Amino acid sequence: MKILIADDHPFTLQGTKSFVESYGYKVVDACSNGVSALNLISLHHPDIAILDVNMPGMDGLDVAKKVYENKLKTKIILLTMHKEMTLYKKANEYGIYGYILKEHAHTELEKCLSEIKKGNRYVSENLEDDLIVDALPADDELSKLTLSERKIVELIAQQKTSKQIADMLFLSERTVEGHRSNIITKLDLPKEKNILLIWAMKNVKQ
Amino acid sequence: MLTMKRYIRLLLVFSLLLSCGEKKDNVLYHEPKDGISDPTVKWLNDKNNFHKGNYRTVFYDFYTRKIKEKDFKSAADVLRIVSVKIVHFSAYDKDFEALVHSFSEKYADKLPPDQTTFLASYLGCYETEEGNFKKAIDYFRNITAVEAVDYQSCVDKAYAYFDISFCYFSIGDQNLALENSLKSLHYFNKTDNLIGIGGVYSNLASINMALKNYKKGEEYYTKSIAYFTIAKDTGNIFTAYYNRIQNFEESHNPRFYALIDSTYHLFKESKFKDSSLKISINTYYTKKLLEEGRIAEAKKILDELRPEVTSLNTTYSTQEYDIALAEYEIKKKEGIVDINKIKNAIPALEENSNYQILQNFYTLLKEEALSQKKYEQAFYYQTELQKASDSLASTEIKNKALELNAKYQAEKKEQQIKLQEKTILNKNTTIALLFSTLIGILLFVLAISLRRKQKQLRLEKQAARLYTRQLLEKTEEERRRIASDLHDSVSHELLSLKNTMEGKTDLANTKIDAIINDIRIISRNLHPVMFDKIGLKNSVEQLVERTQSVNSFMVTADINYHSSLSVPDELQVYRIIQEALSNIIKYADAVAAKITIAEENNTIHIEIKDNGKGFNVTETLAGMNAFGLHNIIERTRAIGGEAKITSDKNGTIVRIEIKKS
Repeated sequence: MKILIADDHPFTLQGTKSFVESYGYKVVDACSNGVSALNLISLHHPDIAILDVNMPGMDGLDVAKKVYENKLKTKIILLTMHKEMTLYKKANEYGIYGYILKEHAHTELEKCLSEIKKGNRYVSENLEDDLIVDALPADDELSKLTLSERKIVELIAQQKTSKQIADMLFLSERTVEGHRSNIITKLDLPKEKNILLIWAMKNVKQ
Repeated sequence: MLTMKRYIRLLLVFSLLLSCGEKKDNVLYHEPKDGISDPTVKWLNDKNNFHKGNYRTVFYDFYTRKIKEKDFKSAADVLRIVSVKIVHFSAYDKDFEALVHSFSEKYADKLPPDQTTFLASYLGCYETEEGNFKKAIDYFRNITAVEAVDYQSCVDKAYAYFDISFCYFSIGDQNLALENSLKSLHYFNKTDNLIGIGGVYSNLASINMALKNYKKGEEYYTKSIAYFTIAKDTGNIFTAYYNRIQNFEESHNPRFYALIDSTYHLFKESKFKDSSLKISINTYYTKKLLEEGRIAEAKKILDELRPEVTSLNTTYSTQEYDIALAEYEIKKKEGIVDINKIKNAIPALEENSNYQILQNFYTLLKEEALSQKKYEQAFYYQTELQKASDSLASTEIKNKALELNAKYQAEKKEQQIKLQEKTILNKNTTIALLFSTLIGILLFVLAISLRRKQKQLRLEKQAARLYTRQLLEKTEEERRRIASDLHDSVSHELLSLKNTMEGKTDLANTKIDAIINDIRIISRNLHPVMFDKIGLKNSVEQLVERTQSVNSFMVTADINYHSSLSVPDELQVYRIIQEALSNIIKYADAVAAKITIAEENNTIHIEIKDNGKGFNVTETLAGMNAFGLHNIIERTRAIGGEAKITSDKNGTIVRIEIKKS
């Protein structure tokens, strides 16, 4: 396994290199910007390229995009401080194989590399956590629901019809209906008439 | 066309000694009975003796004897008698003239002034006969200055006025002619001299004729002929007839030729001896003959007349004859034989203002030129003729002006009023025009300055917008830099620190993680992560998700957008949405909000609406705490868009419209 590492922070670059080598992989190239990275990838065709996102010139995403567009065989792992899901989604459009947060690199990098070696993809667990993290008091049943679902339940508790709920939340009635059946499934409620209303009345604090 | 007016004065002077003896009321002076005792004087006074060969010799002998005897009174008497005869027959001669001059120089002062007026009278008559009217008037004026004390002096004065009237008449000043005629009539009326009165009427008739008042002229002639007939004054009767002929000629009376014919035959039958009158009447008769084509007869009369004209030798009669002759020659188509005779006479006529005869001469010359087809000359003569006619007419106009004074004045006044009205109207028009022009200019200037101001305002607005935009972009840039510095540098340093301390203390690790997380949040709030990579759509979606999770606020987004704005503009749109959303969360008390981005062909519509409690937009915008709203409006303006904020109790809607560039 030939590996390329690109990071504009010399310490991080060095650290990452040490980690990778300590896992028994061979680092063929290490560079500090996207342009060099893309050149080296084109030249040496490493199996894996571990790229920082924020780099001068071309950033990690740009390189990933080029590799994707040029249909190069090199598999891209983005190693970044950005936890945002949107960024991951964007990167995913370019068919990346791994997305790891630098904070957790020491625990996740080895796992990621081995998964990729097996032919799988790896996304940082902490990334997905991020979206729910800021949320909630986790101890009641409502916490199983998304915000939209919770809002709908609250409005059901106020005995609003689906039409009224849709108007109030700027949703379509169909969306509201969809949410209702999802909620019933999530809460594992029996299929009875008005079961959600009854449940909501009981569980939503007015 | 002959327009000569034969004066009657000469014959009146002759009639001085003819008694008629008729009484009249209001008559002051009566003609004295013939008191001449001296047989020689009596003989000289008989007009029948005047043409006798020894008449002059008899006179000179008598006169010289009386002067020698120093009987100046008798000398003056005889001198007067002869002078009257000479004037009457127009038989002037140089010797007699010299005699008159010498008497007036040497002996006149030895006699009372009223007894020597005949001297001036004679000289005046002579000058009149010669056509020197102005000189003549001066002589006659001397007579009018003498006071009327008896019959003779009164009649003399009357005649003097009469003569002056005639002179003015000849010059064409009918005004003065009329005035002097009336004075003359005044003095004649103090005497029983009917011939004088008849003469004045004849003169008045002539004046009226000159004024083309032919009907009145005819009336006066009839009147004067009546007086002359009572006085049995054949000469004057014919003179009046002659003048009537002229009146008829002037007025184109159809009885013109009939009158010539009857007058001619009457004159012939009367056997009245007067060369001047004979020439006048005969020349008219030739005119009639020529008119009837009896050229040979006309020639015969002219030939018969010639010796008489030569012997008479007065300017007037000669001119009269010459004109008749010229007319005959033209009629005969021979051309005027002696055209120079006529031409040479012209300067003298002009000098004497004798426009009447001048007119006749020019008429002749014009006809001659026409008959010879010399049109240029004819035109010249026509012009001159017109001038002469105008000179006559000028006085006529003056008189008419007097007559029609009142009417004319009224008309003039009316015209003046009209003119004034017109002037006022013109003035008003001018003022209105100027005023409207001024207003026009003012409006124009105003429009230009307004346009300039507008342009300036627009430019200022543009500049302000550009400035706002740059300010906003710089701010964003700054925030982005701070965010990335925090995120990339500080976080990385912290990460390195954490790595070096790996395994030493859990507490430190946890702390470092928390710091990194805080920095991440600060950084993310400063600037959306990787905005230029992720784009507006995804960034807004992320904003929505985070708002939902962080604020537990229900926001949905419906985004139909394909990156047609530049990244800086997209960032502004993101900030606007962020601001609006922040406002909703802070103040709206809403259940939910919705973000819509819709892209059309030329415009991008962005709408952020909530179902909160709403607020008064105008009041809030005017207030101090509307930074959020102003932020939205200013950012929109900076990217060339338009923001509309509407709000009521059902919620608030922020609508942004951006034209695609």
